[in-house]
Amino acid sequence: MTESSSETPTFLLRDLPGLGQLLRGPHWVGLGLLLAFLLPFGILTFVPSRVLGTFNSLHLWGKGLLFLFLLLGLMGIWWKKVGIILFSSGIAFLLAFLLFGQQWFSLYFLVLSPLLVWRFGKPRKEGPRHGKSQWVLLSERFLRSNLAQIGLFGVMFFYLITFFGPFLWPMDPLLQVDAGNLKLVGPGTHGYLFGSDQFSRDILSRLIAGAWISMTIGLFAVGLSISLGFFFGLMAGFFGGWVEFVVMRLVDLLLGIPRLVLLLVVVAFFKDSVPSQYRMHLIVVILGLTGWMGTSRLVRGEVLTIKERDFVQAGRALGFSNLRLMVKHIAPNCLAPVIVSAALGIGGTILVEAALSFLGLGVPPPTPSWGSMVADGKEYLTKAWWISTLSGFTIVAAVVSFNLLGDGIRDALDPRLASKRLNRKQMDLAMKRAAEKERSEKEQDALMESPSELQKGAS
Amino acid sequence: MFAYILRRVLTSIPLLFLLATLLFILIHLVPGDPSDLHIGDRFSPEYVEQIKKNMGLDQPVIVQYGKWLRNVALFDFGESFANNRTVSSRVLEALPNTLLLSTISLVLIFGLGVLMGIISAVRQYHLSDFILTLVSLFLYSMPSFWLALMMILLSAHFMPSWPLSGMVGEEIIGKLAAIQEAKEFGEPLTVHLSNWEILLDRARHLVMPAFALGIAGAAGVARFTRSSMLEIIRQDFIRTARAKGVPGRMVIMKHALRNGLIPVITLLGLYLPFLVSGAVLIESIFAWPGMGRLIVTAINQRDYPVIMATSLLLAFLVVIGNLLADILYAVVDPRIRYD
Repeated sequence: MTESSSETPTFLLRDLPGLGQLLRGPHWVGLGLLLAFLLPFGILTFVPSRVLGTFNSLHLWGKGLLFLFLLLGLMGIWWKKVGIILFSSGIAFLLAFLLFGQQWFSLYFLVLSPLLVWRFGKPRKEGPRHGKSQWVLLSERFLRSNLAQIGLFGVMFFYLITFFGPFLWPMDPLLQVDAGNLKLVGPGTHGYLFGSDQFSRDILSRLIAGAWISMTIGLFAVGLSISLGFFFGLMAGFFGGWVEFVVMRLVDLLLGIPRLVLLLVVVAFFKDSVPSQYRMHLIVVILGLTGWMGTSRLVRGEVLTIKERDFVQAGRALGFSNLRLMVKHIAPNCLAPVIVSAALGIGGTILVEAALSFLGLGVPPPTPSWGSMVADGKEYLTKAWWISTLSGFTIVAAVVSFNLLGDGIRDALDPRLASKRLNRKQMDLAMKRAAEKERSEKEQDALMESPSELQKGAS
Repeated sequence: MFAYILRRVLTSIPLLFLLATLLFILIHLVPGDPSDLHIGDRFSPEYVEQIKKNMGLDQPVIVQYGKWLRNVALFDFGESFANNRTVSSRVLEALPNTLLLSTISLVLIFGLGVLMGIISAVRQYHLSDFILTLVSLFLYSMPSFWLALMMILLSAHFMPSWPLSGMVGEEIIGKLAAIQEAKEFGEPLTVHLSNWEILLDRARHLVMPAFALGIAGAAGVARFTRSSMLEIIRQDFIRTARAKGVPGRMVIMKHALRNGLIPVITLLGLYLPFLVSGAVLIESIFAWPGMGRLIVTAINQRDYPVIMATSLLLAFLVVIGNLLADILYAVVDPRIRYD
C-alpha cells in the first residue's frame, strides 16, 4: 500500500530514532527525538571532562542513588514498562529538586535519554486499522497539527536544555570575569554569544541555567496544584452534599483573591524565615497551593457528568466500593481535560514565577532566573538592550511552547474541532482509506451474510 | 431576577468576611510578629514591649481578631510605618489612579479583543485569522513587565520625547508651581494652563501603561471570543438567517455576536484580578502612583499596615467584580435560571 522509496540507508532509519519521523513526518517530533538522542553523545564526545567532574563531585549517597535509579529506569526501558520508567524518572527528578540538585539529574538523564528514545522513539510501523486505543487516536489527531507539533518540540527542547544545562553552558553562569572591559559586552563579541551583563557574566549561560528554575518550578508547582485540584474536584463531584458545598465555597473564596497579590504578600512575609537555598521550594509550595482551584472546578464538572454514565452505574450495581469507582473508573475518564489544563498551567506558572523574580521575590541572587535577568537588564535598558530582551524572548518562547502544546491537546480531544481542513495530500489519503474501508466492509458483509440474517431474525 | 441579584449580593458578604479572616490567619501564621518587622533588634526590650502594646499585640488572638474585623469595617488601618500618614489616606490617594488605569485597560482589552476575535472567527483559516491567532498567542504568552520594558526601549529610541514614567509631565508641574506662586504673591498670571492641556498630558502618560497592561488581556479575550464565535457560527439558526437572505454583516453583528459574547462576559469578572495583579508590575515599571506601586513599595519597606490594607482592598475589588459579572451574565442571558 505505502511505497517506501527512501534514499537514506535503512539501517540509519532503523537505528537512529527520530530520523524516520524527521524525513517522513511528524517532522518536529523527529527533530526533538533526534536531539534527545544525539545531545548526550555530543556531550560525551566534546565535554567528557565536565561529565566526569560532575560525577566525581557527588558524594557517596548521590552516586549510590544515581546507580539505583538508573538501574530501575533501565529495567523499565528493557521491559518497555512505562510505569517503571515514569516512577524512576519522576522520583529521581523530585530527589534532584529536593536534595541533589540539577547536576545529579543531568547525569541521570544523560544515560537514560538516548536509551529511552532509542527504545520508544522509532517510527511505528503501519499498525492495524482497527483496535487503536483512544490514546493512540488522540496522538494521531494531535500530530496532524503543525502548530501542536511545534509546541511539543518546544517543550522537549526546553526540558532538554534544562536537564543537560550543566553540560551545555559555554561558561560558568556565575563566573564574573575579573576584567573591566568585559562588562555589558554586546552579543557576539569577546566570546559572549548573547552578550554579557553588568558583572561580565555570560547571558547565554545564565539563560540555560535559569531554565532549571523556571521549568522545574513550573512542573512541580503545576504537579502539586493539579493533584490538589484533582483530589478536591473528585471528592466534591463524587460525594456531593456538604463536601461539595464546602469545597466549592472554598474555591470561590480563593478565586476571589488576585493571585499575584496573594503571592507577593505571602512570599514577602515568609521569605525571611526560609533559608535562601529553600526559597525555590517555598515558591513551588505557594504556587501549588494557590493554583488548584481552576482544576478542581474542571474535574468536578467532568465527574458530575461521568458519574451518571452507564459504566459507573454498572459498577455500583456490581457493588464496587466508592474508592474503586473513583480511582479506577471515574478518574481515568476525566484525565484528558486535566492534561490540557496542566500544559497551559505550566506556561502560566512560568509567567507568574518570572513576575515574582522580576520583583525580586523569587530565587535569591546570584542564582540566575529568567525573570530576575529581565529585572537586571531594566537598569541598563538603553545601554545594554540584550539583557532584558533576550531573557524576555526566552520566557516567551517557553510559554508559547506550552500554550501550543496545551491548545494542540485540547483540539485533539475536542471532536467538534476535529474536522480540520486537510491539505490535498491528507485529503487524498483520507478518501483512499474511506474507500478501502467501505470495500472491506462490503466484503465482510458478503462473508457474514448468514449471521446477519440470523441477527435480524433474533431481533 | 431581583431576588437573584439580591441573593447574589448577600452571599458575597460572607465572602468578604471570610477574606478578611483569611488574611488575618495568614498574617498570624507568619513566624514572628509585626513588631519584629517594624523595629528589628536595635531597640531595648522595654521599647519593643511598648510597641507591642501600642499595636495591640499583647492581647489574646481573639481580641486581636475582633479588633481587626472592626478596623476592616471602618477601613481604619492606623498609620503607615514608612511615613506617619494614615494608611487609609494613602490608599484612597492611590485608588483613583489605579481605577483610571484599569478602566482604560479594560476598555482596551474588551474592545480590541472582541474585535480581533470576531475577525479571526469570521475569516477562519484565512491568512488574517492565521496572523491574528499567532499574534494573540504570542501576546498572551508574553510577560507584561517584559512587554512594558520593550515598549520603553522602542519608544526611547523612536520617540524620545514621549513620557515614560509618572502621571503628570514636568511641564505641567512647572506651570502649576508658577500659578501657585503667582497666586501667593498676588502677581498677574503669566502662564496659562487649560484643562484641555492637563487632560492631554494625562492621556499621553496613560497610553503606554494602559497598552502594556491591556494587550495581553486583549489577546486572551480574542482567543476566547474566537472559539465562542466559531461555535455559534456553526449553529442552525445562523444558517437559517443566512438562508433567508439576511446580509452577512448583519448575521455576524446581530445574530452571532449577541450569543457569542455571553461567555465573554464571564471573562469580565475573571479579568479584574488579572488587571489588579498586572497593575502591580506595570505600575512599578511606569512609576504610576497607584495601588500596585503602593503595595510593592510597602513590601519592600516592610510597611505592614499598608500591605494589609491594599491587599484586602484589592481582594474586595475582585469580589465586587465577580459579583458584577454574575449579575451582568444573568441580565444578558435569559436562559440562565435564577432559582
